[in-house]
Formats: sequence, C-alpha cells, structure tokens
Amino acid sequence: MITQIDAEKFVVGFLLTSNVRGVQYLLTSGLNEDCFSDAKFRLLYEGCISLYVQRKEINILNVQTFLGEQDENHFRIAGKTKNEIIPLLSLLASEIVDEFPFLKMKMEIFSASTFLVKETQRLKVSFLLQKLHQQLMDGMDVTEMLNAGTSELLSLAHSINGIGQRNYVSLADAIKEAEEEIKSELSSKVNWLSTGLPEVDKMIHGLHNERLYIIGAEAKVGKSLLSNQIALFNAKQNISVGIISMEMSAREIVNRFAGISQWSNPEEKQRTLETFKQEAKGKPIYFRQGGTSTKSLFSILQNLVTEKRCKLIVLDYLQLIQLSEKSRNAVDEINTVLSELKSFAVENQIPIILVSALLTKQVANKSNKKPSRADIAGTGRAINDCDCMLMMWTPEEEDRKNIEIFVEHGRNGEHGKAGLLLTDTLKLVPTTLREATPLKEYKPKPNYGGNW
Amino acid sequence: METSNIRVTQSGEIFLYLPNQKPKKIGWFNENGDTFHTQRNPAKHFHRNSNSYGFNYELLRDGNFSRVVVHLPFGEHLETSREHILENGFFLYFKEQGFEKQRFLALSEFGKEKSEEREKRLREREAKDNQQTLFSQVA
Repeated sequence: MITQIDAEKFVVGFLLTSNVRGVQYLLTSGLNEDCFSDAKFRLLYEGCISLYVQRKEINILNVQTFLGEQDENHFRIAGKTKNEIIPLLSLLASEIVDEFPFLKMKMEIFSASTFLVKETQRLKVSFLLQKLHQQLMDGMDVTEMLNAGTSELLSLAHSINGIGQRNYVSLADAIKEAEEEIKSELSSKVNWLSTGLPEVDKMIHGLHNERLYIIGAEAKVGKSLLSNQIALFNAKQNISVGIISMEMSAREIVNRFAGISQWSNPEEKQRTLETFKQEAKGKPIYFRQGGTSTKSLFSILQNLVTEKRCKLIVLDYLQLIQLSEKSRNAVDEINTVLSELKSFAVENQIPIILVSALLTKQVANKSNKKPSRADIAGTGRAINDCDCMLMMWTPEEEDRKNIEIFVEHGRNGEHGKAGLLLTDTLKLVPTTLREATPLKEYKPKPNYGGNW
Repeated sequence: METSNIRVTQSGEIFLYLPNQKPKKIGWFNENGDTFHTQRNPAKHFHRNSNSYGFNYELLRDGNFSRVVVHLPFGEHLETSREHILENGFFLYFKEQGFEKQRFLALSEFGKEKSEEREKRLREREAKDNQQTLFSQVA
C-alpha cells in the first residue's frame, strides 16, 4: 500500500536524484507546497523548487545552502528553530536519497499491481513490498535488498503470469505429481488433514489442500462448533490453524474448546480452564475476531498463511462478511468472495473451511425440513465454487442433540452421511445413525437375559 | 395404499412421521417389545376438558405390545394396557393443529387394577361361554 508519506518522499527523492529537467518540470508544474502534509517534506520540496527556478543543480548540498540562507520565519511551519531543523532536514534528505531505489521500485510495482485482476494477487505483491520495507528498516543494505527482492518478484510474477509451472502443467508433469502423491501415501505419509471424526473422514476422505469446504446448517445446529472442533483437533497435531471468527470472540471460542458452561460455578470453570491450558500449551492456533470486510478478508488470510504458516483456515461465517456500501449487488459480491476464496486455497495450497448460514424460512417451508444446496443464504453459486458441501441438520423434532451430517455436493465423489451427538460439554462425538423400520416390520431384539 | 406413519429404530425408539414436520419421538419399547413407554408433561399434554391423556391410534391398533407406561415428571408413572385404551378410550382428532388421530383415556381409567379388572371380566366371560358349550354338548 502506498501512503501519503511514501508519495511525498518519492517526489522529493526524485527531485534530489534526477537531474533531468523534463522530469523535474513535470514534478514541479503539477504540484505545489500545499500538496505536502509533512512540514519537513514541504520544506525540502520548497528548497528543490527554488533551486529549479534559479536553474541550479538540485542536490543535498545545494538544498542545505538554500535553507541556510532563509530567515527564521521560513521554518515556523515545522514548529522548530532554524538551527534545530536544518540538521534534521539534511539527515532526512540523505535518508531519502539512500532509500530512493527501493521507493522507486515500490512505486512501480504498486502501480503495476493495480492492473492485476485478482485481489489475492494484488495482496501478494503488497505483502512482498511490506516484507522488503521491513528488511530495509532492519538495516539491510538497499542494493542487497533489491537483489533479494528482484528474485522474489520474478518468482511471484511467474506464478501470477503463468510463466512458472502452476498455470501450464503438461500431462506428464501432472502424472508425475499424482505419482508422488501416491508414493507419499504408500510410505504412510498422510498428505491430507483429518477432521477428528472418523465417520466424516470416511465420507470426504479428509481435508485436502487446494479445496474449499462449506459447512451449511441452520442456526443453533452446531456448524461453528464443528468447524472449531476440526481446527482444534488439527492444532493438537501441531498443524498451524487460523480461525477467522466474525461471530464469536476468541475468549468465547476458548471457553467452548475447554467445555466451560456459562452456568457452572467459577471454581469449576477455573479447574476446567486449567486442564485445557495444559492440553493446549504451545498449540499453533491463531484467531482473528470481529467484523471483517471483503477488502480486509484476503489480507488477513494472506497474513495467516505467510506469517503464521497456517495450513488450515476456518472462516466463520460467510454471511457476516461486511459487504462494501458501494456494492450494487450483494449477491455478486458474495459470489466474488467465494470464487476468490477458492483461488486463494489453490494458490496457497491449503484447505479452507467456510461456514455458512441457511435461509431458515426456506428450510422450514420444506416438507421434510432437510436443508439442501439451494438454501445457502445470500448466494446460489456456492455449489460452483466449493469442492465439498457438508450440511448439518437435526432430523428429529425436539431433539437438538442428535445431529446428522451429510455430503450435499462432492466434486471428487464424496458421499454419505454420519451421525453426531452433542454432549453436555459442547463437543460433537460420532454416533450411529438411527435406521427406523415401519411398525409392522419391527421385531424386538431376542432377550437373552430371559424373563421367565 | 395406506402407509405407516410410525417407524421404530433398532433400539426400540418409536418415531412418528407426519407431513411437513420432522419425525417426532413418541416413546420407546422395552427389550421384549411388550411394553410401550412414553413421557407426558401435564402442563403440555394433559387435555383439561376431558381430563385425559392421548395416545397415537395407529400405534395402539397395529402394535404388538400389551402394557402401556406413562412417565410423568418427578418419577411418577401411570400404567394401563393397550386393549384397555382401545376399549375405554375415545377419539379426539386435532388435525388442524398438526396432530395425528389419537385415542384419549381419562385419568380415572388408568391403573393396573382397572386393566386387570377388564381382563378378569374377559376371563370370566370366556369360562362362562366354555361352560355353556359343554352343557350344549351334553344336551
């Protein structure tokens, strides 16, 4: 992201380093002193302009001489005396000249990145720039940093423009990749993540990289609970997990993880939390709480993946993402988020679990009350973008503890259903599904105990 | 063809399937399948006008059980037999409220003695009939 300070620094830097009068003319004609918000940059810019008008060479030494010739009133804007400000300005000017190659690169890359179509790609470029800037602040030499940055930029450009392998893969390469996957499976190296629920794993064959999973359910069925449980299970296997929760705070999620009931007494709560604290010590799980807009969502995701090395992301939930006010059509924006989430999963090679609410009224009007793919609130395109859609519902009236989870859509042949039981400690445990027979065909189990 | 609205799971739980509603658990069978257990909350299920509790008619008609146990709050329970409800109960059908056809039994008709009384009466009548046939053979 380019800030106002960056832009001001860039203009001053250009004037101080470039001796081409054409460029200097462009920078002086379109701007004036009021364009500068920072007093120090404004003073330096004024110095450069005066030198330009006097047809003198613009450099640090000449700017210093010019500033020395000015009276005390000239520096009133900076709130410091002439003797205080001139050394500061000289130091700043030399810093700007040193940093200018990086600044120039940053400006060029950033302006070029605005032409990228995908938000995720733009963010990648932005993150790379941030990283390079951090290296510069840590004292890395500009030339060294530029060299390192160039190679990273090239590899990034490859992946974005398809010069690299990821966009054009030959059949032979694809077969090779598949072979490697099978080889790793043969050597009992599991390359997919487990949900922690064997029956669900059997249905969907685990959580695979590059896939977008949607868990849909009506309110109060346990969709957030399930997704958070999957996250905790993987974190316990030392797999870095990120949870973006727009519904609950991190504290509330931790209470759920620990199985703390809000009605239990404080001593009991403390005991339970202490046990959980021991269990969860050093487990890599990162939360992002509170509202998230469509714009910031992908920068958060990128942050979790690049900085925290998250291998699984849980997003709770789709309908709570704040849409931009300018958006003419909310459905279009949700659709865009969905397709970008899918491409984010593919580009970063991670599975994403997206929780989604359903249209309660639509489900209630159905004869069997069973949710389906068309009931996802806010979008009808979820089925196109996700790889696997899981639905949860309570098949029985007045029994909210027996939950059925089934595959509504599976791009890779996922199918089946499983039973889950909600325990008193707010955990979902596997249970057998009830297979009911008509009354006339029912035969009680033989009673071996014998009632003689 | 009439389809059954009642289904029973392997563990003996009985579910009622009504149109436009999720299955409703209405009770359970014991291990032998000869007793139907059900729960009733007086505040919710008691029919004040007739002073009675209702039971699914289809279950009473087609079921193979003989004993009915109604579990009430605070560990109390009422007991009767299937035949007794069919014989001494009465129909009430709250179709518009989304309920199935039910046979109601007044609170005064519950109890082991009442259902046993009926069985006793039946046995006596049976014995009497047998006697008559015996005499007719002699005659």
